[in-house]
Amino acid sequence: MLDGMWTDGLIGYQRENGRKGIRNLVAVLAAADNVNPLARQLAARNPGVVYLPASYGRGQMGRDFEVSLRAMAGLAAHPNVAGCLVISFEPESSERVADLARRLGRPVETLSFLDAGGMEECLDQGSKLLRRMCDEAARRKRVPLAVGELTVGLECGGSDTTSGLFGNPALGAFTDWLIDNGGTAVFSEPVECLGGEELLRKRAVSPQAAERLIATVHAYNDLAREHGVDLAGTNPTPDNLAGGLTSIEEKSLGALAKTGSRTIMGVIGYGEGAPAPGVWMMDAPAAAVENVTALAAGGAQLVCFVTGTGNPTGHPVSPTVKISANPRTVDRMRAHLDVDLADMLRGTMSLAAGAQVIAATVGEVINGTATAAERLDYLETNISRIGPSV
Amino acid sequence: MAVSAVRAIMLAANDDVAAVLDTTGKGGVVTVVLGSSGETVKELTAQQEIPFGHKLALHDIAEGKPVHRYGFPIGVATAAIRQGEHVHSHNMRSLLSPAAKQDLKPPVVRPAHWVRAVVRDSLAAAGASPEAAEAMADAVTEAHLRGVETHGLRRLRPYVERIRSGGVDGAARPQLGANSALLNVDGRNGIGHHVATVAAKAVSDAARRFGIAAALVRNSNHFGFAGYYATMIAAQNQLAIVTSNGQVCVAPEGATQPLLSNNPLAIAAPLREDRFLELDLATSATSRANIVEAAGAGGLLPAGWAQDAQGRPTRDPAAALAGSLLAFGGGKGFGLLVALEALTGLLCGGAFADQVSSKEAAPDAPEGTAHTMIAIDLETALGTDAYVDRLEELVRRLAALDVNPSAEPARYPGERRWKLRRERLRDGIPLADAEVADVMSLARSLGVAVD
Repeated sequence: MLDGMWTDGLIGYQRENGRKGIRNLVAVLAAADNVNPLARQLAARNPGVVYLPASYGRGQMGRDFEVSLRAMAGLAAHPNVAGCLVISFEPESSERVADLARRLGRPVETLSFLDAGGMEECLDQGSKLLRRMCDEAARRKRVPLAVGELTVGLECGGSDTTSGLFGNPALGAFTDWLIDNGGTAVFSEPVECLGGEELLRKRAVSPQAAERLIATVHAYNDLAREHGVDLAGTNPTPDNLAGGLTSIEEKSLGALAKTGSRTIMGVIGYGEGAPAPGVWMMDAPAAAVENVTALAAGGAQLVCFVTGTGNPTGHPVSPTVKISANPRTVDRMRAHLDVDLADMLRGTMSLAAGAQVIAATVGEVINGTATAAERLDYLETNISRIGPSV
Repeated sequence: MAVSAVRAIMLAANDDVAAVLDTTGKGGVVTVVLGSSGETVKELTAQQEIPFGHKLALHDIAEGKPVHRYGFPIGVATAAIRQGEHVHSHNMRSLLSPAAKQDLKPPVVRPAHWVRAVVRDSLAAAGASPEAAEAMADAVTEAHLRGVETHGLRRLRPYVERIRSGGVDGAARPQLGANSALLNVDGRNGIGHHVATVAAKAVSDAARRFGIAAALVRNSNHFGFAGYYATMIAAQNQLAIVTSNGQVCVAPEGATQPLLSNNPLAIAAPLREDRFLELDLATSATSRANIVEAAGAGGLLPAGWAQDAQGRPTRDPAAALAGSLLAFGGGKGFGLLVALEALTGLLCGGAFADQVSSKEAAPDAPEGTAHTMIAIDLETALGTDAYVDRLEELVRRLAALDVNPSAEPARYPGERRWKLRRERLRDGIPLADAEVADVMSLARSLGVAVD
């Protein structure tokens, strides 16, 4: 139903590891929270440089530390990032992140407070490095980008009746077309798949993949139970019930509608890249900022985000396209939205037309049009913690 | 009023429901549109008011049938739903929701003597001796009084069927060995509750004489809940330890087949005012009955309950029933289970481990269950009053512990059972409507008059 979309061609930026970006950012990334002030001031001193703060980064252990490092490296090596400066207090911390980024095929620069010898020296040396990166970025040539070179993150938040009926199914139709043309789509929020096991089993590429998908979903349910929360007992919420949702299965299937109908390849870890084209589930929690950060860290060039009641969040590295079919939200929060599907509810826009509007907007965003969140600078990054600090 | 129809969106071709895009009143005409293509599928009449975004039934849905949306089941109809009716929590429920139990009919309340009579008379009519019928009737009644429903009336029909098929000898008289502190008891394939009652009385008598005694019972059958016999002995001012083996169902972690039963361990001692310390635990993380129940309700099992036939952890009730239960508490629980088998099946000289016959696989074969009961006479040990004083003090100190504001006061084992027993003796026993109906039809089929 989307044949003929994007025939004018997509353009991107070639990166050293073969991937292509849709933005040409220079970023300063803090490897731990104790250098956030430094990263912030470096970004302020060098206009246009993206500030990627750390929430923690110290006192972390085990899988939690591994996830944080992988996500930091994923952001540093992101195809939308032309150059990245990783800073830390002691040199080992930034080197650890840099090393992982290099393994993803991207060179990054590092700088440490201790090596440089204090704040003034860091600001001087860092600014010099960032200016050089900006110069190099400006000289990057733009190249044609094929649909098959795209990884799109799929997210929904602030969901309501219109999400399950229109927003998610329309995004699902776009996702099907993306996959049919060789692209990659990554959804996450396994906790919102509880009750959708039959769908996962049916769409999984193999019985092993189905088992992995379902186990990932159930792990979140177990986690909730350990903390005294019975997800099946507390969902649907009173709001959901008032909106017409009767069961958690129904809520989950509504969320899964954004993933379309094609084969689901398997599960990838938090901030991990998809190893092959197709639809993948990322093991990441549902809260919007953490979730979008995980999708970005996994290398999604952009994120399509369906919202019912409105959600302004965008990620500084992965442009986040906001889609809503709720007329009231479109009316009140138009500035925060990129795609208006309210006509689907009014009956004057078909599902195919809705998917076309999404595809057209995504095409423009790929080719440089700023998203609402980019225009408003409503951008945030935050890597999930899955364990306590010591 | 405009006659323009309200649209309803159907999300997949095999859906049973569609969501209305405008609130529609009773009798309102609804045009159902397939979301993916926009084509009109049908027109129907709303049978009641349906609010915006809510679902209406596209055709009649029978009670108990799955309800599909997005092409997949979103739950099950809890009532017969007619075309055009509102589908929501009043007539549909999630298959994962614990709310499932609310859909059952309210319990029927019966006095304890009703339960006792229906069990006793049915067993007698099926060919059990008066002593055996009385013994099982008492045990089943106590199960209901103490809230141990899994060993209640639902055990009657299988027992009656096994007596009729010759799997259990309802008229058997258990044979007691030499009159010493160590009693060998041959159950002679009698009703387990009867064999265990005879053994409990004999071991208690022997302990009074010798200070301590043990009964080693073989060739018995399923005896209900172990706490019943332990408290029967404890009521004689003795400290009791009771264990049993049974039908194979538990595997060690990772094993592809079960080897042992979930051997129960009961320890009981007397308190004052018709209260007992009554520890009674099966060594599996949950009973097979709970898994059968989850399979029926369509829900998922909590982690750590069971594993599948390939020895992998599972939360799918069907896979768990084809596989095995896990011991509680991981390796420690399994270790306790092995030790309990050493204390029963091995020591009693009867069947052990998976030699105990399955009621389901071989209904007409003797089970060969073994029980071990140990009684320590308190008067001989420390003096009954001195011991009970000490136990009362322990119980008092447990209850007096400060707890965080959201926690319940600490309880001793058996506290809930004996409190419930007092309430149920006074107010009657709540029984599931279906269970009462089943037991009454069984009794009538045996020619027993019940009301």
